[in-house]
Amino acid sequence: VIHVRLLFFAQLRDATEVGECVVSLPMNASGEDIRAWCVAHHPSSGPLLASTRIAINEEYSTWDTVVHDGDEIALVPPVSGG
Amino acid sequence: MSVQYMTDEVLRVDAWHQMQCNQCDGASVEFLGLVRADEHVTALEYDAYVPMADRVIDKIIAAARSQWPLHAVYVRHRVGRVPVGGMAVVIGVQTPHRKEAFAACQFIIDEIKTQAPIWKRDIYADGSLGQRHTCAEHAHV
Repeated sequence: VIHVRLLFFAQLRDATEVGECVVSLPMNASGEDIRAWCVAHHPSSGPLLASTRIAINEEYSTWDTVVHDGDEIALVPPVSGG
Repeated sequence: MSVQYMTDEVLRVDAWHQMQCNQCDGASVEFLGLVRADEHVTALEYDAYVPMADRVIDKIIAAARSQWPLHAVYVRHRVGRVPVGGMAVVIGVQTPHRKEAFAACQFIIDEIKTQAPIWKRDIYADGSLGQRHTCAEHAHV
């Protein structure tokens, strides 16, 4: 089992009412497992995840990337800076 | 990370103007992103994943430097509440000639708007939180 820190922002934070949490996942889990965890634990996040990017340790990544113990995973909804 | 581009302090364009000038540069271009007045909206509230936003902006500047002969580059972006008329972002570049200065400045703001993990939402006159902006095309700035 590994533990990752999961960060929610903007619309996802509104939907889940969670800023961050620690999630336990099996070894070799990927971003897809994190997405499934979100849908299972926060169903309201489901519709938003289709347009959400994943960042691992402050770098944009892909949902099929394997995550590791201690990783910081950010779920990044469509951005609107500037 | 040596430069913190994201700040909760009021932006000052003179901070950019006071940067050391390279006498080989003939062009200085700056972009000031202002909060535009809109019905019932008195401010925008900016939120960001600050450490990643700083890293993303650092990479955007590096990408700009690889394309154009940039010397001085200045980027600051607000987090927190910015009233209508206030500055949300300041970008400044200096290059030998104007074409690359305009191009680089445009590139940097365009990339920030689509890549940096920054979000904004409306603040109404009564202080309540309004709608979130979900894409750059609908941005107020």
